[in-house]
Amino acid sequence: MNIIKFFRIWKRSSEMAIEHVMAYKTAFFLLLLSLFLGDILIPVISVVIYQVSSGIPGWNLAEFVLFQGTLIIVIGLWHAFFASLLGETISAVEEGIFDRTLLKPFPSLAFLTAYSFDPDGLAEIAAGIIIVGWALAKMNFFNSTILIYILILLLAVLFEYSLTIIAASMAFTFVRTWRLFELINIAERFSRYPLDVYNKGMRFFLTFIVPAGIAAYYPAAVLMGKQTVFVVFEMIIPISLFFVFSLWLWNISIRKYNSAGG
Amino acid sequence: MSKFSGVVKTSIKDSIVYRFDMAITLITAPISILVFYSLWSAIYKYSGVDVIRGFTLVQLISYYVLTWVIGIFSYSNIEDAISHQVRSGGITKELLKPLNYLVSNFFITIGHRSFAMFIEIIPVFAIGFIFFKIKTSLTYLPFFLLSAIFAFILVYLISALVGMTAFWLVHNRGIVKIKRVLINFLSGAVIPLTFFPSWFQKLSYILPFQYLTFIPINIWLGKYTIIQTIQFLGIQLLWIAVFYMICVFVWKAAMKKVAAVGI
Amino acid sequence: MEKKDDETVISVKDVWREFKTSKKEAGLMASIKSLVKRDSVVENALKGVSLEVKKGEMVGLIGPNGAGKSTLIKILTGVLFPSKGDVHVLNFIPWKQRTKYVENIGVIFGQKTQLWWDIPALDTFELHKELYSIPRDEFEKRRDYMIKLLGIEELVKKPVRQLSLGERMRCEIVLCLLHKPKMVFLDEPTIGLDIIAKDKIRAFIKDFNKSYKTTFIITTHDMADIEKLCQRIIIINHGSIVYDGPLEEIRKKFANYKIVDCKFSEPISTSSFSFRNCKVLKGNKHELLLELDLTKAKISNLINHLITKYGDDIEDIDIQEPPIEEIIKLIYKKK
Repeated sequence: MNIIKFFRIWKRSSEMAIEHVMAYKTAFFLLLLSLFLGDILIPVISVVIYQVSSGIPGWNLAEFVLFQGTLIIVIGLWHAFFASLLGETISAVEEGIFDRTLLKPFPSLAFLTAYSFDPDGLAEIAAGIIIVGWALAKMNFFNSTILIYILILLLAVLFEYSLTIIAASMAFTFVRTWRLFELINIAERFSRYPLDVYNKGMRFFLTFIVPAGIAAYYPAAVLMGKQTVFVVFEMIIPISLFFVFSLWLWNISIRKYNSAGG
Repeated sequence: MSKFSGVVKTSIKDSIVYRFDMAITLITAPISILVFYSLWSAIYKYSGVDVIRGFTLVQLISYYVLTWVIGIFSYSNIEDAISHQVRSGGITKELLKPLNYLVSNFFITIGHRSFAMFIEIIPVFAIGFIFFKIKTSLTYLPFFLLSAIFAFILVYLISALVGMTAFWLVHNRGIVKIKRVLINFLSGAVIPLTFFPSWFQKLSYILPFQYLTFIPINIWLGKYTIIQTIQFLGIQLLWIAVFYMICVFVWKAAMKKVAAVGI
Repeated sequence: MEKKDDETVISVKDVWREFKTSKKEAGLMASIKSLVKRDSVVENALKGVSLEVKKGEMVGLIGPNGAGKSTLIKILTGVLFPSKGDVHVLNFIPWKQRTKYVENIGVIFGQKTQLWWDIPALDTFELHKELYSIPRDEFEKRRDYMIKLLGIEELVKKPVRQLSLGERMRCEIVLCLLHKPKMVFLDEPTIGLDIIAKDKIRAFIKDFNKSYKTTFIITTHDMADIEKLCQRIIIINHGSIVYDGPLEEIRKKFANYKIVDCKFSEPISTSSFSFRNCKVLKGNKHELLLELDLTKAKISNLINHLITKYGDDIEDIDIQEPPIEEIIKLIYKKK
């Protein structure tokens, strides 16, 4: 696959996506607002929790809010760059127009990914950054670990992307189910709280088998010094393998689609 | 009446086709419950308390499982359905049908939810009961069922109202989302209303939204006396009447707009 | 050079395509049963189909719905692979070398647009340029040339949803041909268009075919499309090719008859009219509508007979060929 061509297609279709939403300015800004609001309210729940209890073992309020903000950034990035892939695939298969994707002179998955920019996600990324910023300011914390933090964060996004690809592959078999989105949410549910709340067995499972725990836990934990920087190396291999697995699953599903006619 | 039973029967048949859709709840619900359980066990343990704002750990977990139960029970797609019909222009076709759109959709929803009872609701409750040892009050079960039905109707009316904003603001996804977020908070679907600071609690007691989730669940958890329960049921009915009238009014206004201006 | 012009671009040999469907029954009990068990049936969408197309041909592919047309097209475009048989298009095996192969083809779906809905067609053209790696100046030259030819200079700047169907189809055609494909598949290209729009589109397609020797495969239910564009038609029914050849020959092969419409100026009794190998379709005091079997009788003999019998009372004799639709209908109905 030609990377340069990929970026050119991505750039052009993202520009078109922005033009497209600008056609309905008010509705678009209302939607951005609703997403932003929904995310900003999440730390509010944390504040409530810390008012009625001592909170989560090992994490004070600011740290936990940082954790939540991190998760929001990861989800925002996923939403902005990869989420539409699933919706587009399901719609196309449902309406019987997936063939069109196969008629483009570009590998189907890469093409759909290039098409997946969704300006809505920017609202979530913004909310996440503000929340993380608030938490860091409260803790008076700024040092170079932030770079590792960002790297792990990006690995988490890669993980979400792999999940999306797996769910999209299933669209060919389970036609018309929009609830495939919820399969991705399963991983997200496990990511919602620091791994400290789970028992040892679950913690292992969520780190090495289904690395859902990584999305917010590791970036935040490394930043807070609760984990060492070396976790990066622990995570790169399972996440890369998971990604390769998702690509393989997609190719199998396309082959099956080609032989069954959709 | 036979018109409606036909609609309900067809929508049950329709639901069977989407059984996989519904079955996905059987994967997502237990996981969410497990996560919630892990979180709050850790919190209760770390805080060294047995009760937080009137809820023991068991009661809180039961509360959470019941938010799923009542959430699925009251779920309706009417707000998305209206928006979709307005956007696609299909609403004009719907208006030509003999049955009022909102009414027919109501009965379709009843059909879908009846099917969901078996595929989603009862299994989720069973999972909560068997694996998470949730406790509910047998005495108050009939009151809960009544309250849940009222909640279902109330959710439908509120969703229909929000959905009807599509007649004026064709792309109303933002409004629908904001509504969902606010109602989640105000109904106690995120955490019990008693966890919130008192000013917020006071606000939620005036608003109708606590009757969607918080009140029905607490009824089944046996947190109220019979008298209080009956009072709450009465207030639910009152709110249903209020929203019903608002719906009728807005619907008439919407139809006027459609006739005058078109969609 | 002669060899190049006679180049075979499509070669289909004995292609079979089977598919499974599940047997569904109506009723509430059957629905509940289907929760547990599903019966499936194997059928053949294509049964031993073979054909060859040469470069620059304009071929019409017709057949009733469910005949296997779309299955064949899907196989030719590489979206589906056959259960049995060989297919080569432009020296590619379509489904095996998909991404390379599709660089050379263009597809238009008459009913579903490939243009982005809320923004100008020009923007979708730009995306197309990136997708097919068309060099900038070649892209602009060809784009501007086609836009001018179709008269859509202003239309391409408007959001596609504001265009009428005819205007949109013209933009769609430009999109399809921007990368100068060697082969184009058109599916119902003129559906829903008014007469003038249809003519414009057909003229453009013909022109393109002449200038670039592009091969066109046209699937349609509109017989005028076929008559105006295709020298050759292939009829598929029940998964097999029932006819493959020039349009005129269809009449000779399947419906060799003529309709004679004889109108009278004075009311005349026609109840006694009869002529060998001639069927009376309609007979009243003012008109005689006849169908003459050309394999067994001569038209001139019938005309002579009419004139002899009714002479001055004849106001008009109109001789018509059976409309293509009628013939196709007959072919479709055959098992």
